[in-house]
Amino acid sequence: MKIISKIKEIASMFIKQDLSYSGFTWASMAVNILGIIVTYYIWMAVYGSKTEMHGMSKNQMITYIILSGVLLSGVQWMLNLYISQLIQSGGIAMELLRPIDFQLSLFSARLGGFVSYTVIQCIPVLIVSSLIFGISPPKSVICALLFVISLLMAIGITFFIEFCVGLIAFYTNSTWGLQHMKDAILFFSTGAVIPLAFFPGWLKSIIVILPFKDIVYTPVSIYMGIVTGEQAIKAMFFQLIWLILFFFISRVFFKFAIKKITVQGG
Amino acid sequence: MKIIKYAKLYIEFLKQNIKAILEYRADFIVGFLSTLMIQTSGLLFVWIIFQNISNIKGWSFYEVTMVYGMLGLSKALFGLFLGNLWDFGSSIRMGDFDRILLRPMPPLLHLAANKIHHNNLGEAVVALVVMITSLLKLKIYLGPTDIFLMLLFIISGTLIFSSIILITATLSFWMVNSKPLTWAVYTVSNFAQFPLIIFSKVVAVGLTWVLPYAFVSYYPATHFLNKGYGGISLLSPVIALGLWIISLAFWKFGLKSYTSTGS
Amino acid sequence: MSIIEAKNLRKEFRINKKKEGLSGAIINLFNPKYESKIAVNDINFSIDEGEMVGYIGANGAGKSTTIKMLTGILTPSSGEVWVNGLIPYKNRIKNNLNIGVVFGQRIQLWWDTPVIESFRLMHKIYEMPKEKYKKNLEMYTELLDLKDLLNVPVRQLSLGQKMRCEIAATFLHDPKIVYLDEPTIGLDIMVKDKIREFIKTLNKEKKTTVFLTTHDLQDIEEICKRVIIIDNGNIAYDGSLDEIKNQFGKHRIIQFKVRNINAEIDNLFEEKKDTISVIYKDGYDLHIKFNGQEITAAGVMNLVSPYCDILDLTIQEPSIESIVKDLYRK
Repeated sequence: MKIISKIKEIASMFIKQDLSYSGFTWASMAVNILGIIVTYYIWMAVYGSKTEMHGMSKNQMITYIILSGVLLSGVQWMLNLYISQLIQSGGIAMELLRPIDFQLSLFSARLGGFVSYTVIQCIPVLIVSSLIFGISPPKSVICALLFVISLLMAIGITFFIEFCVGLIAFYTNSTWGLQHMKDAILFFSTGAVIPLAFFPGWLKSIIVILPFKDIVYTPVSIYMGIVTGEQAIKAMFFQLIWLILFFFISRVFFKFAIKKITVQGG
Repeated sequence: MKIIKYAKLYIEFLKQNIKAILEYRADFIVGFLSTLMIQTSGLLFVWIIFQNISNIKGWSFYEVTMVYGMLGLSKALFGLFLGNLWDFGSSIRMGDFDRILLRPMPPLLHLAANKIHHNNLGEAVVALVVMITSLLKLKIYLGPTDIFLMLLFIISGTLIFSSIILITATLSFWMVNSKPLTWAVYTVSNFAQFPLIIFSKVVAVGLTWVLPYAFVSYYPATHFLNKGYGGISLLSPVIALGLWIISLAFWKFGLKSYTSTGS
Repeated sequence: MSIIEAKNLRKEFRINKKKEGLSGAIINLFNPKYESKIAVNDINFSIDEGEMVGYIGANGAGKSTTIKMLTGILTPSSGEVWVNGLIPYKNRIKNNLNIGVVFGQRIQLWWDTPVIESFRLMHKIYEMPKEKYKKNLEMYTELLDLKDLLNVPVRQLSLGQKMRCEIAATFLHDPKIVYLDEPTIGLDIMVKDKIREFIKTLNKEKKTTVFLTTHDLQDIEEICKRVIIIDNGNIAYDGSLDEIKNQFGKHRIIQFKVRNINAEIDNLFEEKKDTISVIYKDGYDLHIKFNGQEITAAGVMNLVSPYCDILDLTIQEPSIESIVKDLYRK
């Protein structure tokens, strides 16, 4: 009897959790899945009767589409919107008065929200997409482990990029405009909908230099074994460099931005 | 005549909106640039794909961009004129809707006229450029009937978007927040950026008869690209009109319900 | 012929009675239970053109519900309401042409453009002849001191400046009736004064009917000759302001400035607790409330003086505040 009541309790807790998914969360997941579906059909039509392109089989492509689609929305946190709105409303003053470093408190919030925001939104999308289309497991255990580390770094890079984008609101009045710009850049430069191999030569060499590929392409390609062994480590090394670089850029930018309000008075 | 009176009034609002936009010039530019970027990145995606293949299920690059552009144009025109519907839910929650009800003009007109969402201007411009470029590259020249038809299709497409979103926005009279639903329904239109044949039968049917986005871009495009389906494109205006009438009726119903329960 | 007429006006709300917990939420989906709340209970009143009426009541008493029915944005459950010869909820748009509404602290002007642009747009919306618009604009700018504000974007104005413009905008099209809901809330005394004067002036010049709901009883004192009190959906009082002060304004207050209060004064208060009551007492101040019909101010002074040194005193006349409080308590 005790066991049954315990199960009831846990189940109802899960259901309550479900019911408490905000409309926004449902919509985000729906939009995510829709995006994956559209991309799927496009690529299937592109492949046509071919079984492989640029070294990727149809099945691999499917895995790529699902994983990168989930990741693109999963690594983001809309931090830039939060900061922009804080600046526009003036609430930023309150935040800056707190005895804790602004960026640090945001980062802890991000860590704290990892399960409730990232995981909760990504897992259903992953499951549904896999059920519809089928996803392959990581190439090996090592790939899986490296994937996790690469993913965490990707989240970190995105965090700092969003932080900087958010700070731009100190200089313009725009919140959604910047969000759209960020979306646009991240959309194809992260390799989210197109694996890097498909980019024409000259464009590829540009994308490869930019940090954005490390947000989606790098972790996904490690998972899938597109890059392995030494190449993988090398890719992750550069990912780390970008992570550290963006950390410093965000700190410096922050210092500048703060000066602006303390001088202008807000 | 009422329509003329309201059209004139709309123009007055338009003047006011433009003055407001000029006050926030930097904001306008950022908005314009950002939509430009989004459109470009979407087109870039299509372009990169076509670096790897010459056609997609029989559709060439410019044929695909024709569909892409047509969807973008109607979507942008809808956003320009009825963009205020997005925030309708929150205006009810904040009690601002009552103010709209107290003016001597139809509330929907007031809502639409209150703010022109200029961000869509960038999208409209790009879409138009894409369409014209595609037609030129495909060596398709439009005679006067064709141009008339094209305008008809664009207006129909805009009406289809407007009707669908008006219906989901009207739900705000009963739901706390219909914006997420509106957003999801709006995103489904992304399917219609590409030729319908690349999708499964289920998706194709859905886009034709459930959320008829295919009538915004795909079927009209097939008319000009001579891709068969000849007659069905002419259903576009019919569906647009029908949907618009339904959505208006639903809106009126929502209004009535709102005024009898008082939020 | 009255300009506003309410006959047996009633509004009943059905509130969904939600149950607790998960099972409750599911049950509610299939078998919703409703509770009925009567916000306005068969009220009657009639207002003539040019009257300035204060409509007061506690929060939740039915004030906003009444206004919503008068302005046509809420349909009554039963009864009749006539405004300007029209049924407001049936002819909302037509009725709107002749009314103005002010919601305190909420601005109907457009934020991002200068005030004058909002005025221009209102002029078009309300189909005003150009001459009338020009004349009113000049007059209101003068009365409310708007000259320096006209070219400033609304979002840059202070609350007081915004409300002055807001009031002007509301009266711009010469509405026959203006509904004011907390028009002076949050404003400083100078602005309040200006706005009250403006309303009175326009009522005098244009016979604008004014329907005022407010918690600021000073507003009522300054503007209204007639007061309607609504309490729990029912009209508790409908008559002149003076009348209500006479009928219920028994209580007056004396504020003494004192020294050296003798402790035995507490015995006095205990003895006389039916006639006088102490509102405030410390080493320097003594405020006493007394029933003006049972004892005079001089009488109170005589009672109190043996127990302390009276340095000075002030007598306060009955405030609407206390009157309304008494009425609510009844």
